[in-house]
Amino acid sequence: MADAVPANRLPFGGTWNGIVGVREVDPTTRTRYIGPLPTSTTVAQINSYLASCPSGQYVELAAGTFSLNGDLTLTTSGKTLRGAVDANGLPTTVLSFSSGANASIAASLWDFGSSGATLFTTVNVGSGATRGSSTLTLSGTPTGLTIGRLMWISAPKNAPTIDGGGWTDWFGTRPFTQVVKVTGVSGNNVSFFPAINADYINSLALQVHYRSASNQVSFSGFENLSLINASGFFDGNVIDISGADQCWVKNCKLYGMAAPSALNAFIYLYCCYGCEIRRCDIAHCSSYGSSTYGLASPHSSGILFVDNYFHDLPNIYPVFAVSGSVFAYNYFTNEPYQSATWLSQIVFFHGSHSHYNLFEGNWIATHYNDATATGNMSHSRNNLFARQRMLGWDAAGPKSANCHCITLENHHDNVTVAACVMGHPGTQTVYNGNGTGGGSNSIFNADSVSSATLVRLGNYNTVNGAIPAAETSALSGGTVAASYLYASKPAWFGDRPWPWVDPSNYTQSNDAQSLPAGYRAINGRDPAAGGAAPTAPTNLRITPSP
Amino acid sequence: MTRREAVKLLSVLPTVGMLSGVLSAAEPATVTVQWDWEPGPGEAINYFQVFVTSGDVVPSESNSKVIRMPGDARRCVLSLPSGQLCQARVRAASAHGISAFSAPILLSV
Repeated sequence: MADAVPANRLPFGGTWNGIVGVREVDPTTRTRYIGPLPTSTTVAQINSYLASCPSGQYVELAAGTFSLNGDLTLTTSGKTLRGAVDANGLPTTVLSFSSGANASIAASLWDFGSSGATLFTTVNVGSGATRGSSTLTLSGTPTGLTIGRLMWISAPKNAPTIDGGGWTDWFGTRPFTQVVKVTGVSGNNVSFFPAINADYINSLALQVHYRSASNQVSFSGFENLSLINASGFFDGNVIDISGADQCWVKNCKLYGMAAPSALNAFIYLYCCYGCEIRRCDIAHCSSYGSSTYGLASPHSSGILFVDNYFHDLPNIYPVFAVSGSVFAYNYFTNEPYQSATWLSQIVFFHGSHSHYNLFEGNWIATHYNDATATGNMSHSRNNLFARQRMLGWDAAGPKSANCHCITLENHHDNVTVAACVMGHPGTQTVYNGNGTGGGSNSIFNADSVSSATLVRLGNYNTVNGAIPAAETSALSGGTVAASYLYASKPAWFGDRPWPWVDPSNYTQSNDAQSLPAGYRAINGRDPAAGGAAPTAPTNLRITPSP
Repeated sequence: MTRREAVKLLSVLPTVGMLSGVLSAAEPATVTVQWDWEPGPGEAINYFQVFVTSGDVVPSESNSKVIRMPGDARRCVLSLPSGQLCQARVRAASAHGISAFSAPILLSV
């Protein structure tokens, strides 16, 4: 049967499989350069070892607590800093930073704002920016552009199709970017991967932007580390990752962030491509106000956030100008907020124009996608929410107000919500809200503009206690895929069911332990190894009674 | 002709499993369905679930009558509401998850 999700709302090629996360290297095959280093090792020594480590190798730290009186900096490509793990695979190497210090993966400073325009070489696009295209013809010669460089394709505002604003616009005026990696340069023609997804930019005044190779870090990552601050809370971002190509933070525990004066995030990906945040545990802030986040990733593409556990945070991920990325199979619980019973925004479009992102298989309180009050600052197009457990509720408080499962304020266009299980029994009272904050708690809280292009496919909700008939009809005989990220059940799902969110199985979908990240959060270990889900029975037929 | 004989007769008619409403509406009728299933290497079944829905809807726990057949059973006796067009689907459950649904068949008494 055909896929019920409209094809033009999916990335070119129909899936996010192969276009997100680390795909050009296998970090598990790396050999050890040095270590395990003892806990007496200083941060300067660790930085030095990382600098001298050959590409394709790793620096290993022993179990125990390292006191780091300065910033941990990974500035070059192909390196891994790897800690130790216990019998359950959880990190036992603790990095205790002094006040004001943090960790980073970056070769230089990056700035996509108006003051950062001089950092980039910018060339106008002549032609070729159609959906599916992987070659652009530029209006001039792309001097200094080489294979392997990251390149940003940007577009100006073109309301109502592209809009957004505020500090998150590229060079202060351009809400749209897609980050690609250059695969060939011939004269004015530039080839790249992946292909352009958007089918609405070809007629616009497009530009490309790039920097030299010395500013880019590729294929480097942190693994098996627990990051804390000796003062109790980090003063700002815990890990900064900038201008990075397929870098990662895997199996790390990040604890404690202070009240920020500006936007802070435990992991802040800035102008990145193909990076991966996997199996991390991110928690605790000193206050529960706004601007305190688990993640941020402005002007990044191909990012994979998967199998993480977020807790004791007021909000998790404001999405600014992100495209072609995936946020999947993450588990959330205990989300306190400054107004104790008000459900905040959690994972949400919050600035500029985001497009072709997938939110799949998360156990999540809500997605409150805002319009940021004035100027239509937050804007999105062609994003998919599939097989999500969206509660519209959280136990911290517990939450009783603004308890919508998903909110779409003005101009979140072409949103598709498919095969999700939505609602918390007794909390939501209506199926449709009006796209504003507060009011009657609803399953879908979309304004009239966003509603006009919202497609709802076979979602179960607790207000109806069923899949509404209109959502069944909307399937038009098609099906919703088990996943738009994986071709089959990933091995790390172990013995957990696949797909774990099934609108026809509320019991399974309402059990956080059906999700590996939820199982790990509750039990302190991974689920047992498993295999693939069974194949469907066939040839169902009537037979004579015995 | 008894009810059981009627169901037997109709079930072998070339109607892709559709039974005509020849029986009285006052009494429920039963029909037996069976299915095939191919296990993967070393794969053991936990149970099958047969979902019976009224009308053409996506089956869920809330809109379906669900019959759970423990172990490797390959057939099930269904008690059908009279006067309604029903659909039946079956799916398999193992330690590793639940399968997709089989293609539906139409039932009516």
